[in-house]
Amino acid sequence: MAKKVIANIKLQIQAGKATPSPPIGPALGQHGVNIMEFCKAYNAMTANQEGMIIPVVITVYADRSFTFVTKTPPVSVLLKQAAKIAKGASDPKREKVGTVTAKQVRDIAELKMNDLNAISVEGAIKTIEGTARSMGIEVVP
Amino acid sequence: MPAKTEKATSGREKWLKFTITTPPELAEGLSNFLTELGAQGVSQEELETSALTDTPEPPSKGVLNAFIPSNASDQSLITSLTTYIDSLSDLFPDLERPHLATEVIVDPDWEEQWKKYFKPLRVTRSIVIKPTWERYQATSRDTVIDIDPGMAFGTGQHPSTWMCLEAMEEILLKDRSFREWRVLDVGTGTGILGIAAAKLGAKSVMCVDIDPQAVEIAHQNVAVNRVGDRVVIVNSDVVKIKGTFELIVANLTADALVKIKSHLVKMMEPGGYLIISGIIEQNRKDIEKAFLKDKLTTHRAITDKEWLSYVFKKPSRING
Repeated sequence: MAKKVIANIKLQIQAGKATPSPPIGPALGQHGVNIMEFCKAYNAMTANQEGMIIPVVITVYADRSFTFVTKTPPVSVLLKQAAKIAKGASDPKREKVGTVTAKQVRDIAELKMNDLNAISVEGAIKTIEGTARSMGIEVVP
Repeated sequence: MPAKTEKATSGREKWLKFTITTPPELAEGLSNFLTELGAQGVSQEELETSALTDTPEPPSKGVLNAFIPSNASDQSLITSLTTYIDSLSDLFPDLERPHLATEVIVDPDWEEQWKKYFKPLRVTRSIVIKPTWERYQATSRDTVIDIDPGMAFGTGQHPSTWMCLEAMEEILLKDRSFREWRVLDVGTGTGILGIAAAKLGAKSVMCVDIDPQAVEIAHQNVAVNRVGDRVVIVNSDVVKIKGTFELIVANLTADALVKIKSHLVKMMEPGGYLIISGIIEQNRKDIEKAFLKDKLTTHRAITDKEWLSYVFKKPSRING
């Protein structure tokens, strides 16, 4: 029988550097997840990607056991890499901080297809273009 | 830029907590902005009632949480975030405006909260791990280990730990290669494996950990289990340890194991065993490549989900 799921928690955290401090402690502690066990497992799995943010989705069951899957780096991080910028805009409506090409957006879309829950690459591209706008990054042909 | 940590009078850290309710389309931009403001990470939670878990993150209205150490610049962080949200709401007029709430909270001992769910657990045929604060009615065949994990790793719940316990139990209770077993526990954490070795009949146990906090916790657990006469705990890097052991157990990570491999093998008594754990499937090849070229033989390999443990044996002098 499938175990009852009580929560799905998504974290965007530094690869290989999970510790019980926020946001991990508060997010997992309230559901009774053994925080140190999670940190060890996450760090073991992401040690070779240190320096990146590696999102993780943790499923917590009623008996407080958990499983998790790591994802590809966040769209925002991939966009900043593609645009070769360190930060997004603080006022994206008025400020443009960089550009990415439509080809770069498509590459990111293909990489992120599964994580974005998109049915088609076109759908994923739309999501990524939206994120780019929200960061003050322009998509150019 | 990350804000400087300010300690509250109680000695616990104070945190500025951001809670943002947002349409999913804007969650990624907001997460990025929070990280750039100095948050160590962002959590997003959706309460579930269905048992379907293998689907990608479902798109629904999400709640983002982020924490930044609280100090004099709290107000300017809040202002920056509000400006950003205003800008988003101008850019995406069709979407609902994200709602921001902030509060300053004192660390409520997050790492303690899971303890209420840590219950006595039978991990092998004979070994039961019991939190120090729980009661357990042991039978005569049980080997009960009391653990208060504090901030250290090792409660027996993790596959990498119980696979070590399982392997140790088999060797220490059944193998007659040695009359007396000297055991080395590398990266002891809570001391769980070293304590188990002592309770399973080892003559002497050395527990090593590089983390002084773990050493302190291991000391307390050794005392609670009344095995202080056989167990010593050393705060050191294992490569500085000298001597040989009939059984070495190292529950670390694949990287760390490969790094200290030569030293581990050197410390194995001929005919002795090495148990390594904390390895995930994707590192199987690296581990086998590193350890099997040293004339070690695989005595046993244990797997649970994506986790692997190996028991290697060193040839005895006569054969090797």
